[in-house]
Amino acid sequence: MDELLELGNIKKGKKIPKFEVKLFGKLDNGKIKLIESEIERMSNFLEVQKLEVEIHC
Amino acid sequence: MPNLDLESISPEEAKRKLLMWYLSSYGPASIQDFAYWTGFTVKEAKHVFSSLNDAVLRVRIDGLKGEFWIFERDLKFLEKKSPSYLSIHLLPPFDPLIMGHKEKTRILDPIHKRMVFLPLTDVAATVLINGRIVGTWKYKKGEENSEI
Repeated sequence: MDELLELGNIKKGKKIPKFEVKLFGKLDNGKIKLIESEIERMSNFLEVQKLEVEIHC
Repeated sequence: MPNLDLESISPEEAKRKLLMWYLSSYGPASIQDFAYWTGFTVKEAKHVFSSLNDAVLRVRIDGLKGEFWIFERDLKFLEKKSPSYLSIHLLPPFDPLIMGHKEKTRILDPIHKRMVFLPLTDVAATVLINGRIVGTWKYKKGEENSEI
């Protein structure tokens, strides 16, 4: 329920959504770029102009 | 559910249909996988599997022990799929793909199991490359005063 409420706030454009990815090992840059693209694609429904993505290996 | 007619199907037929639907979604799968997913005992699951017809094939999977069942049409589809195809998916917590089989090594290296299957029966959101889990992801709250 908290998650749903949070998405509701984002839709109003008041917060920058932040996605944190923890990888189990190292990946090449091409695959990391694809993961970032997938997050952006997945985030389209949030209707925000900006989001933050942190990827940790 | 006053209009639900529980007598319209026998328990045996209901279990058989459940298995067919399960294999349509999760095949190839083993008897143990079906027992894990349904909560049936392995003995009960084995009994349901004995009702399968010729549309379902018994197969083995490289790197995994035991036998698995899959619909013939699904096997043909998998055989046509190019192994060089790169796919990336971000799945939500408790995604059915992660929860559908008892045997997790097909999707996850055992040394990372505790990073996906968390304490208190929580299951993380996952990153998959070519069907295998390579990491987890989560959505974090934005800064309280940040404006977009």
